[in-house]
Amino acid sequence: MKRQLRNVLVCTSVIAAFTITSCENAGSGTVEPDETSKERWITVAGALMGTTAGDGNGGTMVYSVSKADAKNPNISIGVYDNGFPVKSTRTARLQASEDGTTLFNIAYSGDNGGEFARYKVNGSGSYTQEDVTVNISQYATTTPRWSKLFDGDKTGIAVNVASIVANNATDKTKPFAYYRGTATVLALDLQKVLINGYKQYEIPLSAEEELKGHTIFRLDAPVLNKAQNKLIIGTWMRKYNPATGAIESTFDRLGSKSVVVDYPSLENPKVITSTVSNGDNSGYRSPNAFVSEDGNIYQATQRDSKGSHILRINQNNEYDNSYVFSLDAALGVKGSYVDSWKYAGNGIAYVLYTHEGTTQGYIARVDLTAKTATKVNIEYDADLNFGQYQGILVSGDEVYVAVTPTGKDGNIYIFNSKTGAVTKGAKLLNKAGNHYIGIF
Amino acid sequence: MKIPFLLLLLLLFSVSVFAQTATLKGRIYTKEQGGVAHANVKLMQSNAVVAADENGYFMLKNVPYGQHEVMVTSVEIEPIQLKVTINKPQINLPITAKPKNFELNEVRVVQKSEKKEIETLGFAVNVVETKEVAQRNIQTNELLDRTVGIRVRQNGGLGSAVNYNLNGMSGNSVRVFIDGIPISTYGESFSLNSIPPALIERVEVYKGVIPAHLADDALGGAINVILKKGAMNNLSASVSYGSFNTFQTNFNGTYRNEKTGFTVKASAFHNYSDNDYEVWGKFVRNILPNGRYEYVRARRFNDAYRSTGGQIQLGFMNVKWADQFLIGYNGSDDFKEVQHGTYMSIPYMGRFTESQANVLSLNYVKKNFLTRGLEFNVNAMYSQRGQVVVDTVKWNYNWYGQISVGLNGNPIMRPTGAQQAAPTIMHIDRNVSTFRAGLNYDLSKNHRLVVNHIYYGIDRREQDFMRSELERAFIGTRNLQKNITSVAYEAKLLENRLKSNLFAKFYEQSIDRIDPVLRVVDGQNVRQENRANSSKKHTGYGLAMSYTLNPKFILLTSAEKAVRLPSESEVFGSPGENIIENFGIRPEVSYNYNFGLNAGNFYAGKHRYSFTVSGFIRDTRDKIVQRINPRVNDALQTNPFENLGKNKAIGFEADLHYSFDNNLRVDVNMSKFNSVFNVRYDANGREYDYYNRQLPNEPYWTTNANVQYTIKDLFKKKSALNLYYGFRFVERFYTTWLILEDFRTPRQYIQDLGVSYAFPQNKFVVSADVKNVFDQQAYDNFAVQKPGRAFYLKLNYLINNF
Repeated sequence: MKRQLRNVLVCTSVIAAFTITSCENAGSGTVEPDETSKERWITVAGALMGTTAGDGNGGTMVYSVSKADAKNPNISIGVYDNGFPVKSTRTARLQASEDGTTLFNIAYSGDNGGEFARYKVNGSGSYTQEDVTVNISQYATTTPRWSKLFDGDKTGIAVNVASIVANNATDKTKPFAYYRGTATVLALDLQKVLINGYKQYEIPLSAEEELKGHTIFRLDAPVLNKAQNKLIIGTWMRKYNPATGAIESTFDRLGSKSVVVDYPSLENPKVITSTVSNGDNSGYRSPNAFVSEDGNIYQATQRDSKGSHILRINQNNEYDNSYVFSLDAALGVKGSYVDSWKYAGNGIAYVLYTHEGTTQGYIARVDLTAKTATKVNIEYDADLNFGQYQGILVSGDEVYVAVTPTGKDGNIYIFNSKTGAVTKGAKLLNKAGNHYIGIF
Repeated sequence: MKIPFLLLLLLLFSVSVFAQTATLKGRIYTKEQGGVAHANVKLMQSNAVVAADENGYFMLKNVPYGQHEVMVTSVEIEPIQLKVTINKPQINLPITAKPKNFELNEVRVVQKSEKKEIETLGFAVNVVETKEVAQRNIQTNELLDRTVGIRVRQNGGLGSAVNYNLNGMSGNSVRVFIDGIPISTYGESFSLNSIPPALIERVEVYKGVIPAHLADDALGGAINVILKKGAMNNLSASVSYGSFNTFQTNFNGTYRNEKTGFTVKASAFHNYSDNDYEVWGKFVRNILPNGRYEYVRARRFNDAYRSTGGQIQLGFMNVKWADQFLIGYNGSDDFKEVQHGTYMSIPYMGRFTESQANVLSLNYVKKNFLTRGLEFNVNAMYSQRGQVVVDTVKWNYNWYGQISVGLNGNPIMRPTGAQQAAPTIMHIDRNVSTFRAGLNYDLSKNHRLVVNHIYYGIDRREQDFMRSELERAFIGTRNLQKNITSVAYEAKLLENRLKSNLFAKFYEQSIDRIDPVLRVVDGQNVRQENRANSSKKHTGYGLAMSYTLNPKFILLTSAEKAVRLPSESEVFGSPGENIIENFGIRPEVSYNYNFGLNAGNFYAGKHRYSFTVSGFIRDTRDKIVQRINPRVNDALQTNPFENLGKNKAIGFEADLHYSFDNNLRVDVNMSKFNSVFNVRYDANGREYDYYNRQLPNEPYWTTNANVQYTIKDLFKKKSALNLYYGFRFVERFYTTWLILEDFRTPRQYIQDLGVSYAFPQNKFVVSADVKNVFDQQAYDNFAVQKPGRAFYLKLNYLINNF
């Protein structure tokens, strides 16, 4: 009874907070406009297993709590018993509005794959799907990769690369020159629930690179630059053996590449290349590049032969090769790999990573200015795995991460980006084979 | 597992021996028709029962001396009761019977007994007869779908992909055979989609436990299609036309020269349908340039199907040196457009498949081969199969069959390059050799030994003509060989009351992978072949038994340790998708059990009824699944297939047949099961939430009812008018683990009507059918609508004894 009453009070205060702050949210374009003091719903998401433990293919459940409850270690949250199932055959690809009142989802595969829907967050397991949906599958497949821009919840960007073929596939008289696919970049109006526009083009690499069989296999994790006139899109590279047509699983990697396109026209794709790292920078299911207060974009790498790096893209939209930040060096590990990360302001970021010699996931607090990284001290577990992690929430100085080893209970952890303090928050009730994938 | 089997074995052999007993032999016959096939002879005192053979002969052993009352019953004769004194070791008793005033035609009675014979051996088997249905507008798959415990799930209209679910097991757990030969010898073009019921004698559906002569690694059951052997010297033909421009025709003829035994059998079919039926509802929508939905009602536009095939066999039948010696050729060809993928929400344009098969066969059967009681049969086949999958149209289409236009007014390209995936003109060629030989040896009248061997070899080559010549030169080939030896021991004990069949199957599979690679030798690029081989051996075994409590009640039980050997991709993985090989992968194993009761026929005045009820368990282990490593993402997958899964299905089914005065016939059946996730604990000992929960996407409850009413001598004497009504119910089910109404299939109530008129002598039969009378949205698969209301008309013509 006492708890119920308290919940009612919290809820009322949340609603009051919304009504007061709703008109102030002008979407200024700065990084994360939230204030710690603001009340907001916090959505916790968990993935159900499909056929084997940890595969996350059984669908996604969400549950929302107040900030106070999220921080309260005496509160238990069970999305699997009390949550709301998001309409997606496989793991939903979620994003949330900056104020936490709306959840955005694009259904991943299934009959409604590619369908964008908005859910109003009503507290606990109550979510209301808004009437209007929009489907981007014609442009971006039923399994699209997309990110919400940090532009005040205005725009989502979905990207795709289709049908990579050799230039001489059907005309053997032509000499081999390249493997290329057709890229699609699509802008989605998150407020009007409409497709704003899209562009399709082939994106060439240098003739020499292409002759060796290198090509952009996938685009992902787009980010809007500070001037809001360019999108920087992460790439996942692949190499074919031009002599056999076989895909090579090990090859000499090129320098990390991103694709820069004009915004909002989405035209003039241009490839930029880093000399610092040779990893991909496509991330996986979560944003992988962020604009900091200094106007630079910081981008993490994956599948880097020397371990993950954080790369810097300057305001001229070129890689700043004088900025060298190796996570291997900073953490003192080998073969570091960034599963997901988020910039928290003031040069501080939190990184979910793993490294060679383990399958376990870890969290590090990273200082982009000092180029240092320290493993955060939480309760780790051998079954902790951030491979499918989607959502780290930054709200003011606070950084929220859901930490659950596969099949085991865990907690929400709250890190203070200013002080580095670690707070163990609400308990996350888990089920065999499942894991939590984010806080929004 | 092994101990109960041994115990049962012991039981089988512990047949008690009686003192002072005699053997009672004889024949039941009518003056009009000769021997009465399969009549029941019962000794009233001891309840001992025996069935007469096809010619009316019977033998009762171990009959104690003294006065006995004998009761003889059959559907064909009036019951007879007579007294006999047993006072010497051998008694001969001829019995003259009076035929029942029964207007069933003779052929049907014989077929019924054959059906009954197979169905009472102990296996969980349904024998689906086609005789009557063949004259109607009914597809073979529709016929199977009406049978108890079988759910046929088809991805659209005539000719579209089919998946069979037998008692909760489906996909590659269920194997289809044609005359005992795995259907992959024939390929898509000669399949249950294309072969009309008129060319089929019967279909045997074995659930869970499969007899030794159907040797393949079938984990959950087998469907064996017995093609028409044909009455001698007849010719039948039919033609049918109906909705969606569906045209179907077939003919079947057999000729045998009385003197020389020279035999010719020929049959052919042709099917065509536009399948342009209407679809509507929440899955049928056009996506507007801005991404919004426009829900439409539209006709399918890329779904046509055509198949043509024929078979000719020449040879000798019923001659001194062979009961059957036939050399044959079977040729077939089909074309199928593909309207959509797994879900109909995205319509395709221009995707189609084409396949052909040319099959040469040799068939030899001889009873009393070399020695009395030994039957020898050989079946050798060589087949060349070709298949082409074409998908080159690069634009998006909407449900009106128009190119979708994007925001900028330009056509939108498919995000995958072609309709379903990347553009492809994929040619897959297979050479299949199949050799089957069997020996049946009757050790004595009641004991038989069966040895069967099948060799099955496939060489597969594939080439995608959308790839460069160079790339095609580096596509690997796969060769697969399977050898399966099976032995069975069949015994009839306790005066034929107990029939048992104990069998074992020895599987051997070898797969060669030949992948061309480029190596640098002396500074030169050289194309070399990278070879790997995987060999697997495994043993399965089982037992089927039936026990006749009394002529009306037969108990059936069967059990098998069934095996499915890992497929080529499960062993070798797929380097292109970064799935690594796993040579240590084990076969999937399922322990299958069936228990049943077969009861009837019961008579009450003009009412007649019979029923069967049965229960089953399928305990599947070592299921092959791919463990996803969540760390590494889907394009960098390095996880092989592993034996991690466990499922269990428990269920029951019931089948009721009722008839009144030979005018009304009602068949009702239902099947319900729980097919559950059966892995209980995760690595840390925590119980899975899914444990014991129904697996998603399983149609677990189905009911069928069929009613037939016959009016005889309407318009003309000796004619028959048949009225048919069919009803199907499928309970709704969830298609994902999420309990979400959007991912649940709707409940199905589908009703069909039909009428047929047989002119006197049964030579000419006309039939008309209305399917899905109330134009319901019918679904076998989630988000794939099946045809709505449809009308068909069919003409059948039969010439006997030309």
